Amino acid sequence: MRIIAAVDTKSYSDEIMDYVARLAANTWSDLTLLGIQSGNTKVEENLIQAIVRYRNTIFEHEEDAGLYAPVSMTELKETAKGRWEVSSRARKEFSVVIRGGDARKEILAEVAERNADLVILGCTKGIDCIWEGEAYLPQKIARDAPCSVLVIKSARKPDQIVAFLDQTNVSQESLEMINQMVTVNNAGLKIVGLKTPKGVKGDVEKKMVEILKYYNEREIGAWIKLVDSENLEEYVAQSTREGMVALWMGKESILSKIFSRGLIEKLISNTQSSVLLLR
Amino acid sequence: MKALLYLNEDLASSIAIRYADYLCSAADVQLHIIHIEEPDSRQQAGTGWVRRTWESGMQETGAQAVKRIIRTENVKCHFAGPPKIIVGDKEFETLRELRMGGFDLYMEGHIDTSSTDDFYRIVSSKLYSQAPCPTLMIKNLTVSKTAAIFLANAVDYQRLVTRFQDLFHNSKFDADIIYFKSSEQSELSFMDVSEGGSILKETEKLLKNAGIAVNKTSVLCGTPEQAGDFLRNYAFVAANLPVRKSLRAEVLAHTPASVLFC
Repeated sequence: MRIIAAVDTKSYSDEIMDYVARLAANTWSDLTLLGIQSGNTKVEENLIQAIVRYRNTIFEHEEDAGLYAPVSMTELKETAKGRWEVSSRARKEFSVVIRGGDARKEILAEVAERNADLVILGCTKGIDCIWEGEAYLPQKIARDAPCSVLVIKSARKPDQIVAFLDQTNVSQESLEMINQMVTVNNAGLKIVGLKTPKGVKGDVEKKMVEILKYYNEREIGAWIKLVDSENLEEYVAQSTREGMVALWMGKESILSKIFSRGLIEKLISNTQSSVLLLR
Repeated sequence: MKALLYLNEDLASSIAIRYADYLCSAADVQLHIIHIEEPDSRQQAGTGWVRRTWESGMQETGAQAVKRIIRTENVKCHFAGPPKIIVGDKEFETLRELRMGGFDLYMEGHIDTSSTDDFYRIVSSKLYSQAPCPTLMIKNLTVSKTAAIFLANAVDYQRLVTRFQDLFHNSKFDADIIYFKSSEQSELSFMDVSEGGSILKETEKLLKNAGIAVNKTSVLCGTPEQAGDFLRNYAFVAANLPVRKSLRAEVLAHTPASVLFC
């Protein structure tokens, strides 16, 4: 698995590092710290300082010593116009990439280049969820990235992961990703399924039994809840108050049909905790 | 205790049978299984030999479904006899079985939904309101060995404690006493236990006299959704059966934990 943590120099980027470190160590992932700056002629000094801080946090929290090898910022090399990189490999690859230019474009370009599985970003707290100087960046990344996206609004560990799984089309990777979120946060798991006014279809029930068993076999307790599809939007909004919300938004997902792109942006703006979009 | 578990071939029963397995590991349970095949009105076949053959076919279908779920779930507990498969009306036949069999507890699975109407429909059913013993609505699995004794203003705590004690006095379960006060606020809060009045002390005394360990006593203040969510980690929530819509009943509707109606 490859994780990209997209960062700038602000406190919300600082706050996600502890989480990034734990998740990366738990999943044994290749990890990229992607620093974003506006200029593309030279690396900005304040961004370098921030990334050194983030890098140190990653290595301080590395529970499995030897997973990553340290990198030095003095070895950053310009690999393309406005893109600098330094990387190392121990058991897994650790890299620092700095890209200058439009934040949305640069993050999506790096995601494509590295074929990332998960992008993690922090954002400001409160009603909005923004990057300074970049209106609605987390929302745009969540909307446009081809991979899973985790937007962390609150660094507080969620007590509960509320996973809205589209039972008929859940991928193994997304089940595993939720498994990791539960473990890293030591949180409870609520699996929410959809039902229509006519009830739940037999094949959907069978899938939910399989999902429940999958987690129980990994000694993860899970609560099952069924929600009317017409009340889904309201229930998702309510769930952001209970903990981290995880939505499976794969191409075949019914959720991706119910949740328009605009609604994803609204959800991320209004959430009080964190949102994980699984793809 | 002699317990009757209703099984069907669905998600709710998949959870219920595993929950029953867990219950057997924590308490002395003599577990019986029942399944009822309910024919719809169009399926009603004639009389005599025709009827008998048709019912035998339905019974066989039901027996196969129960066999499949028991085999799939691979539970460790032992059943007291083969599953009882009946063709007829579920409420009527279950009530008759509970009365005739002298059961101490009835259990069935119900998947937690976001609709309080679903909950009220179940608890106001004949089966729940006329059951001669406590009923356990199994919503989810648990690993806890602590039950919540759920109190609020004007509950019959003596009945609650007596029924709970009858079922679990020799079990591995201990209890927390939770008193609910409704309040519209952004987060659930805990009040001083004196806010729960004498009912809390009385309940604690009754439980201790019955030899049931009480870990803690809390007074919760918040919305039914918040209180329901707070109760999610308990093995089950023991409460009086709601006889009308109320905020107390809404807590039980919202909680993902299983509910024991006494």
